[in-house]
Amino acid sequence: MKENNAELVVKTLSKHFGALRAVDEVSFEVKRGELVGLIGPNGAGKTTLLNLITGFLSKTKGEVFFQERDITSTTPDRVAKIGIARTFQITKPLVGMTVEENVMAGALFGRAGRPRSIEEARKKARECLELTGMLDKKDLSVGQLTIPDMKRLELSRAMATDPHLLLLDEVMAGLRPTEIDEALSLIKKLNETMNITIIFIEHVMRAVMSISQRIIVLDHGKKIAEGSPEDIARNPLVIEAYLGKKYMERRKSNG
Amino acid sequence: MLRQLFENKKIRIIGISAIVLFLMGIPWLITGYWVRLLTSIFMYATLSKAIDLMIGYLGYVPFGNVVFFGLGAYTTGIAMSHGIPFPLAMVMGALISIMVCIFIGVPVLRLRGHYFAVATVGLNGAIMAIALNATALTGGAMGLTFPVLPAPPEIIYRYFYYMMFALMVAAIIVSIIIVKSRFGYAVRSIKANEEAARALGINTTVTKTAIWIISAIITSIAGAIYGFWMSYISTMDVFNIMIGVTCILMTLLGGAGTIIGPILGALIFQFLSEMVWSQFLEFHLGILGVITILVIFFIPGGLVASLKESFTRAKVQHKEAGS
Repeated sequence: MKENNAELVVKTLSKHFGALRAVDEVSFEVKRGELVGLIGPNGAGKTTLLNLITGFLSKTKGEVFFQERDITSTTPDRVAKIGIARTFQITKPLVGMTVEENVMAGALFGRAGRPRSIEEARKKARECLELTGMLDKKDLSVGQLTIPDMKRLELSRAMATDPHLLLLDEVMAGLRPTEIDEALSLIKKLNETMNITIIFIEHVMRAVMSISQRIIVLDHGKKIAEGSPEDIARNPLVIEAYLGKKYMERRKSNG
Repeated sequence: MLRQLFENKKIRIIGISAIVLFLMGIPWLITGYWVRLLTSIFMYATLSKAIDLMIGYLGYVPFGNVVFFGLGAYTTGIAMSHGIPFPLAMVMGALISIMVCIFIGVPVLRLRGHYFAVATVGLNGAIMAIALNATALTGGAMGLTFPVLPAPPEIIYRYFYYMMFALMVAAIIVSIIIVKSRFGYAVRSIKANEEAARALGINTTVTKTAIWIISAIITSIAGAIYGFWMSYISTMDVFNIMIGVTCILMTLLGGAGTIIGPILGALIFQFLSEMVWSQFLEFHLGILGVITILVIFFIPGGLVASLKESFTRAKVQHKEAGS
């Protein structure tokens, strides 16, 4: 049975596109307050998994539970209302609105509860922009933002929805090393001080290894490993998935 | 200096009050022809405001929105010919439009871009065909006659003038309230990015249907007043797709997604149509086409956006000159 402190439970979740098994019988649990990295080579099914959890795609089979509630066939807006926020790998800013208005849209909707007034939403938006260091850019239109700022905007907007669980899809791609350090401390802060459960997809290995409490590895739609960063770094299946079978054989024959 | 006038809140309030008072008093000073012209400008302004809720705020182009104009006119006409008083008949027209929005809107609003535009044209065609063939109810190709008000013409003209004026003011107020509200944020978020909107917890189906309902109510009330005003309607007349197309053009000309843009567009367009085109009846459509192309090429954001831009430019130049 499910443990009581399990925030998210994914059971034999699958998504087939014709013959392609983009996500193939993936099961895992994430505890409340955990910070979990989701990694895998390109095309491993990470984003598809995220889309299944958030209701943007409908599953072929399997189940998803959030706080012991079945959310398998729930629409994206319902998923957001019960407290799961996400960012998009290819950022989806609200074009034609200012940075502040973008984040206000998150604050006005998001997790259900008493709806905020416009002024309360503005206040919340400014808090979130402060957190990501975007406050001085609040009056810019999103068209004027750089790619890293777009990523920060995505994160601010997701934060404004007051999530219990935050799903981050490559928020660090395109950032410079110093910016990655900032992003890492921000994610840690959200997790530790604001007690938000976080699952993040990332290709920047240094980032994943340094802050994840646990890592889940996908390859060709299957979960191939799960464990602490140290275990994952030593796992032969993971090394093989990233570097190829030939590399592993050569390494073995060389002793 | 004109720019400062626009920015000062007090002056703006005084200006708006002056315009309202002027428009309230003017029908007592001018001839019937001008009262009718102004009434038709108000009507087109109202219809353009209604269509702009969809185009400018939601980002969906309802080419066949005139269907609610026809529904409003026909329902009101049929109800009145059965002895129901005008206000109640008008509400019945609005209710039928709301029902159509809910039943048709939920499936049709899943379609994006031109698919939605074409679907609304289809909807208009279908309902027009029903109105044309339900002869017992609608009079079919013979058209439908409304009871005529027992009053002299100039009184009737003013009666409809004030009704259309009130509806236009209501449409403007509704759009201002929407823009500033939480609902308005939902609508604008959908226009900006529908997927992002859903991820933020916005129920897109409900929001889209709701804004279409507001647009449809305004359009159908305009149709109801129009029918009563004309006292005779036919399907070719009130389901005429060109009414919708003209309103879209007015909206683009004035500026989609702005408070005053569609009103400005309707004003310029109707004046042009009355003053110039009545001389060239055969080229009417040709001129419409030419204007469309010119607007899209030279003022794609509409007059309001172009004016704002030149104001900001003047401001920047002013500052530079000052420093």
